[in-house]
Amino acid sequence: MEILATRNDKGTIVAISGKMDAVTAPVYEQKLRELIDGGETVFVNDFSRLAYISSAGLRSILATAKILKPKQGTLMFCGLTGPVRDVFEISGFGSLFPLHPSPEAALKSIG
Amino acid sequence: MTTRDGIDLYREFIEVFRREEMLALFDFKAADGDDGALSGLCKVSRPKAGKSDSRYISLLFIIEAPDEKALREARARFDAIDWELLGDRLPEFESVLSIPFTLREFTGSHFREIDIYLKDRCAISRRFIVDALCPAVCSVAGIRGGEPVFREDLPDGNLAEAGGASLVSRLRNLFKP
Repeated sequence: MEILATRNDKGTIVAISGKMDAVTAPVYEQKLRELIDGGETVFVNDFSRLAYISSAGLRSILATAKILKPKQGTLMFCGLTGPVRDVFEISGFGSLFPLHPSPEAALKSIG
Repeated sequence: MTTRDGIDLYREFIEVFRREEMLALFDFKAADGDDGALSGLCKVSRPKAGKSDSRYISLLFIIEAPDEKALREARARFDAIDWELLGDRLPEFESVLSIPFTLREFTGSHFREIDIYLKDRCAISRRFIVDALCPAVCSVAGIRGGEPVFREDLPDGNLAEAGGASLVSRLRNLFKP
């Protein structure tokens, strides 16, 4: 799994490629935690190059969202396709978080 | 699943989950500490208002299964659970239905849905889920469940709040003593 974080004046785009499972999910969680500790509160997770996400990946997202709640932060997702989109839909994550087709659309939604 | 008469049965199947209202999520591990064979996330949901006449709660177990061996172990472990034992631990219990399934493409997880039908008098509340449902389910399944996370515990996705603070909260801060 590779993570590339790009800061924008509206938020931080976190592009994740590869697979998000029990081995790699803690890396994602740690990276987001570091960014939150650095003051970032708005994140767009770009999953367009994510091959699949397991329960461990979902748990890491949940843990990150819990940290963001008291900071009034936002966790958005974009580029979900195939099995990643299916897992989001059946797990309920698709109704928990804003989903967008692209990072640009996600950032535009912030206004 | 196959496509028949122009209907994508797989997408129809996925669509079923859209008709549910997610109430909470909790993570879990095998109670015996053998978490290599059993760990994951469980979604607690119920039918959206008006979508079903039945009074039931759906538990969707998303079990970590990175390879075929783990998948077989997860399946066997869940097949061995006697969900009818919920009747001994949950007074509101009426009946149960266990549905295993896999998605069309590999996702690193095994899925198991447990539909728990409840007596009419049961009020499905946060307290019921935390104090009654989750302990009963974990006891029967032989798992250790984490603290349930409810929708209201997560960012609300309201983008007016994005950027750190809404206008209202910023105004409140201006007038703080």
